[in-house]
Amino acid sequence: MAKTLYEKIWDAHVVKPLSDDRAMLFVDRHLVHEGVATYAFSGLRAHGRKVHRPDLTIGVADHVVPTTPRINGVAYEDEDARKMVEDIEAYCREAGIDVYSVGNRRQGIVHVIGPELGFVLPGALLVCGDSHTSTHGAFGALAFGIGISEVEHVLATQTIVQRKSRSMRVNVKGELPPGATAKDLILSILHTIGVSGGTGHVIEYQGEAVRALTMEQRMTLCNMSIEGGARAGMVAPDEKTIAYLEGRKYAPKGEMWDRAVEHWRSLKSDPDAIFDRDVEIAGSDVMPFVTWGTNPGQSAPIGGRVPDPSSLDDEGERASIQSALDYMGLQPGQALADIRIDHVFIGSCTNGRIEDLRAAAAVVRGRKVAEGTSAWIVPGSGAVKEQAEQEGLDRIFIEAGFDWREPGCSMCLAMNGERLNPGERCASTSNRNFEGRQGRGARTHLMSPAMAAAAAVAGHLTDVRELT
Amino acid sequence: MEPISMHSGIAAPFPMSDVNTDLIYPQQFLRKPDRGAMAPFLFHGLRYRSDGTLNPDFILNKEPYDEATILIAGRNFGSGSSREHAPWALKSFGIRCLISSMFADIFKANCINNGIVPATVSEGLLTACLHAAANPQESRFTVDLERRELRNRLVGTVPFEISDSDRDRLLKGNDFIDDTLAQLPAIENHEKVSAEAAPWLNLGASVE
Ligand code: SF4
Repeated sequence: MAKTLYEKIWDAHVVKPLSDDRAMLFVDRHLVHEGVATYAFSGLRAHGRKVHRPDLTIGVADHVVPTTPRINGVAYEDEDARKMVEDIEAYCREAGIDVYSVGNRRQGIVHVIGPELGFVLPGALLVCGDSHTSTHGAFGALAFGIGISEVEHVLATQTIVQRKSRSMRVNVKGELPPGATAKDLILSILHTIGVSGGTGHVIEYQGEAVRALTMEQRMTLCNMSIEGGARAGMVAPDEKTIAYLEGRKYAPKGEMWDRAVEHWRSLKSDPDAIFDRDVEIAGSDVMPFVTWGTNPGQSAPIGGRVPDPSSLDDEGERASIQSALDYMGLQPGQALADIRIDHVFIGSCTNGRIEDLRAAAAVVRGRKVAEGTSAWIVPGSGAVKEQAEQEGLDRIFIEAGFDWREPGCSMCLAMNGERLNPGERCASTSNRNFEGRQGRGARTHLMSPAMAAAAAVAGHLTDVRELT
Repeated sequence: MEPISMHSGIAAPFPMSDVNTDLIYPQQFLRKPDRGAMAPFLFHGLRYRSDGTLNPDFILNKEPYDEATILIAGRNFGSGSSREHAPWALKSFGIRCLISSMFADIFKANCINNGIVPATVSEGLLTACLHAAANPQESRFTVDLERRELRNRLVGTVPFEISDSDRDRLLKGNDFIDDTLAQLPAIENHEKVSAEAAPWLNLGASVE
């Protein structure tokens, strides 16, 4: 019977089929970050349990680490933050798990360094106690976020119990026009399917426009699958995937590499496989998008306007848009390009990679950050930061008035204490514009790195294609 | 995890849809170490005004809902972040059952793992439940997991959905790690077979 890529990976990982369309699945790759490690490892220890396969796990410190200079020590927000980082270092050392913490030059955001290290491979089943684990699906892996109890379960057993999801194919036809990025593509997909449209599904992205994306762009796309509620997002591997992985630290080498590549070349959904749901997107319709609301589905093309709730029939929808506008401090009908901003944040596991920084630098080069606007670049990892510095991108940003910072999650989540003040408005390349996400009362507009860079220069949201 | 089969209590109506876990448990409290003491941070941005005082308009600050043990929530409850702090905080506040027309996937699994019943009802029933609970005198609900039924004076006896396996898990309250470890031979067998079929997946972080 014809199978989807998801079904093929699922089948290859069944340790034991269970009732209710569930199975115990083997986990090939597990990423643990300090935001979950303290809870999960202490639970493990309390029960006297051991880590079953320390060699299949790596540890990362990213969520609570400050992104201020670390030369004279790390300035944690508080003792709880320091303890979380010390915990993951100690627990991993004890269990024999490789850990990338502050002080390691490869430290960075878990979903940036996993691929950088070649830890994720096509056909692998990868989990992490973080919802944006969907990022790794860009490699043709089945990758999804789990809770902390489940992290403990994976550590102890190297398995996870899951119910089979439904499958959804998002086919992006044609080409993306110039100026439209992977971020714009996922924002427009979310605009189409809504923030619960993917619930209970695993999405496979197909189509010429997806094939044309680089690996980093595919990561941006898969990263935000969870914002549509999807369990995972994936792209079948191809020559780009293989070229990206070759020679990376944890990628197979020599003869085993050749065998793996041969397998990966055949790893895709069968042409006649049936998906439970099909969505088609015309690549040519994608254009620079920004969010105006408090979830990633509440967005519009930059040339558009803030919606008018009074024009809607559905009472629930009217109330939800009104409450989003109240929180965001926006007026119905206001042009998006008129929205003034206080801060720009370029970084996160969605858009904190080298290509993102290059795209932002191309806009910023020779320009200045607008008066009254502050702007940060937070590289996704130590390797991204080094590469950018080799290319001189740091100079471009610093000369324009940006803050050039150390790697971490930073203001994507503000869990490390780096946050906005109530009422402040931010053009952000992160993935969530939820109420309070960047600080209590803070207002977030999501967009691509080029659009965020353009906003920094203009001091308000603006169409990067029109920047003169 | 303590088992749960039947639960009666005050149900608080919270009709907002697409409530994400950032709203349930804001990020500034994610570093709190004690998962049993997270009640004060539950819905913090809604429960407290920016000056730190209680927001008297928020449902869980009103009598009798400040003693609610059931939360009736709008569609797509628990979306976004996988943070298990959300169910920990709900539980530490005293919530044992959630009623909604749709739960986000990761959040639902986290609830099951913490002995909280996610009861899924149709949109129509959700509206009826929200309506009944909005009247403090009528806000008592019984969640009967054994029979997959909700009972309330106004709504009557109505069905809810939960999968057999989730229901079983909640009824028994057994430790899922112990259950899986009992299957260790099957796990080890899979490791052997997969190391043959796809040895590169077996390498993990052991190659340099
Ligand atoms: S960058 Fe943001 S979304 Fe990504 S792992 Fe960090 S906090 Fe989560």
